[in-house]
Amino acid sequence: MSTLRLSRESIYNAFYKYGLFIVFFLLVLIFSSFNSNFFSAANAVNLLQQSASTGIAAAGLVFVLVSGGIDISMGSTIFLSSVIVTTFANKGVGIAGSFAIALACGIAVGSMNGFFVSVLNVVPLIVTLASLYIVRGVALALTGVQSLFFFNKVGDAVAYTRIGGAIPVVVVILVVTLFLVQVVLNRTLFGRQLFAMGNNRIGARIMGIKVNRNTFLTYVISGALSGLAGMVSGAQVGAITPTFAEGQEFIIITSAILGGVSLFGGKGTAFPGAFLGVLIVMCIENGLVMAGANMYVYTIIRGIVIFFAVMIDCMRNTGELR
Amino acid sequence: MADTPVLQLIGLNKSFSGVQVLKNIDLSLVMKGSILGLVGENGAGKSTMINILGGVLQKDSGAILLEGVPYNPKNAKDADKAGIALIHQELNLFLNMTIAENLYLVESPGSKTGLLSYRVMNREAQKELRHVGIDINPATLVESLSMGMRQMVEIVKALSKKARIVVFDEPTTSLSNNEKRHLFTIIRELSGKGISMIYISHTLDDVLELCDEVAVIRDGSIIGQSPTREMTKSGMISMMVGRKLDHMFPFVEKRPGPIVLRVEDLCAQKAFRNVSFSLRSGEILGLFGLMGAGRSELARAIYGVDPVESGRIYFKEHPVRHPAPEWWVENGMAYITENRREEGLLMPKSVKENLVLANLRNLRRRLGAVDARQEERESESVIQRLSIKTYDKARQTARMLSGGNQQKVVIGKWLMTQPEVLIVDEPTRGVDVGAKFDIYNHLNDMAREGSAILFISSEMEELIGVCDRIIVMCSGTITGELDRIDFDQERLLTLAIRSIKHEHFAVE
Repeated sequence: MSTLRLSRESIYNAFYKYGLFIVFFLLVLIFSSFNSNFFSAANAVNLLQQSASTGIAAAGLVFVLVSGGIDISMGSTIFLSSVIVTTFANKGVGIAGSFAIALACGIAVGSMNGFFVSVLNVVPLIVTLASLYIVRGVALALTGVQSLFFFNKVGDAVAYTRIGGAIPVVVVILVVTLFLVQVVLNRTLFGRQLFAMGNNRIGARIMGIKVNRNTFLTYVISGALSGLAGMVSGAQVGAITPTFAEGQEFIIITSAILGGVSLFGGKGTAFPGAFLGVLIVMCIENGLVMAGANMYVYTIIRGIVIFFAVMIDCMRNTGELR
Repeated sequence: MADTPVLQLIGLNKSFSGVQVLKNIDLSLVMKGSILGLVGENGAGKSTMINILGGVLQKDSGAILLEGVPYNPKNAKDADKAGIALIHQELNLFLNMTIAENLYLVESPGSKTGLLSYRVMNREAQKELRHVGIDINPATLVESLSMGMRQMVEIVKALSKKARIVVFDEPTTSLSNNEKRHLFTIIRELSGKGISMIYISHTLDDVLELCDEVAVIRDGSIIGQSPTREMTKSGMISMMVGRKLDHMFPFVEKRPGPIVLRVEDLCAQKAFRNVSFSLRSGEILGLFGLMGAGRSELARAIYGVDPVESGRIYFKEHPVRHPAPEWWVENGMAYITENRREEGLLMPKSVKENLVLANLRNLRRRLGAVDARQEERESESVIQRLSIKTYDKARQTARMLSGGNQQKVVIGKWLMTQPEVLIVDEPTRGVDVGAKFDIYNHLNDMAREGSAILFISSEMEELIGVCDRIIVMCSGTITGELDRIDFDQERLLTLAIRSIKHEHFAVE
């Protein structure tokens, strides 16, 4: 009987470990059969480009999720950042300056979230829900509820530059971000302490881990990377409409959870985890476009993906490990 | 210098919201490497005291001297630096991480560049583990370790911080006997290396066996401290309780009535096979077995939490085809689980609300409104009968109670419903002697009033003391049944290990 359980367990483990790769592979197969252009180098680069903004933001979210929090203000932060960066870039601020502004903008929102969560102990979901509305409101006030256009030197440089004529600069930004995030999560005390906090917050405090400081930092990082994501997607899309990046937070959260980052804290990676989640979500959207699917199909499929991502996460979180 | 005590508490005071929990505590740990036992009832103030030592709580007044030097920890880090390590009852390990990661969470070897080196961490962890004679891969996830092994990791963690004084709070509650033996060996080795220890336990035999000195704490004051050789078990008990308990096990004659619960050939694939027994009203039936014998699984299956594969269950001679908790509660069965704290309490709610929760049905008056006066009366009577220590039952939350008192609340909650059948699983685990006595008395009262009680326990003595009959399980089958006149520890144990050829204790 014990061998039976062992084999079942190892199947589960294998599924949890490689399941995502398998799903991704299957998706590629399915969409390739619908449209032969899907499986091509050009579309692969295209897919990575589309994933850049969401991937960067999801990497930031991993910090928050791993330590047991949640940030649903990311879509609004992306919007605010893109609005401010566009405004300044249109006035002639250069590339480096624009990046600095994007990050500063995100850090400002993140610090606000972090302050309320870590110092005043307000529930993260409510804090970031409030910022979701407030930040979007502020950004709308800045634009006068008009569309802005990011068609200038900075926008073009970010969206169209290809390193060595092949790799888009946004993909480089994505890869560098993922790499740095994964190093911080895995190879620093700060990173490991986040995993501890996500597993047992009280225990972490008793052990002498600076729980409040760390929590604050997770929201700052999540905000900063949202700001960066705002700059990237703003440059790519070009037109910042009043509904820009609305609901984006749920695509980011879904991707991260789908990639094995637990909503319950203490588990997850930015690379390959969250990144693979983003690729799968983008792959579905990209594939549906190429298969010529109807608009309503997107929404339904998005819902189904969210449901499955959370269901798998809950299944993994039964038992002792929380 | 030889006379300077390793640790000295002088006139320590601590209050929580106006209630004085520690009153002028004086305590000293004189010799390097000595082991001081600390015993006392639940809620006597032991945990508060050691939390002050560990920097988790701050004292109100008084002084702590470490080898003559004032010590005033503000947080856990200060305690670490001073070489004081607390090993809490609920272990402070992170299950999602490896042993090495758990050891080096606040400071890490070989991280000069700011980046962790797993190679160095694992190597150092391996060394530390070998120091206490454990050969295990430090890259193992803590989640996959047995409770005993986790405790060892906690000890290694304390030692890796160069602890001079290690405080153990109830370290043996979730350990198997073998694991406990191993723990004791290690404690003695540490003592030989000059590390002093404070050992808190309700298992008085262990305290007598292990400690050099024993201090008894009651209601926030130290009642006495003396060398172990001058102490006896009954002496300690009467000091702890403040009264003499003549009979630890208050057995009363009962008149068993008709059979209320009957089980025939019950099987569940992995847990147990062909289990049959019957339970009469007014009787306490003991169910004995070692860890992993299938006792709890049997109870869960009868109650309908786990699936039954085959066999029959009769309630008052009516077959119960699909046992389910809702049905049982409706028909008068109560089941108090092993994991009372997790499964049985609403932590942020008041003691009173917790107590009346299971009995709301009977407190309902016209239009379904709850009768507040009766709610008050009944909860008060349970608090009295089980002597639950609470300063305000309507305002104190369950979370704020000490561990043992939390357990009493869960038990009291079900007792209020006056069930026809009561299944209790390890009701006295982690509970002090005084509270145990209260619980036994209460079970007896219930049986006398006609309840049928299935009493699951791994403590032979209490089953022998309280039960009318005992059935014994081993590896999923019933290996014997003894009537009260045949009760004998040796026979029980023989039945309990009958089919075990090699020592194998299930881990959790």
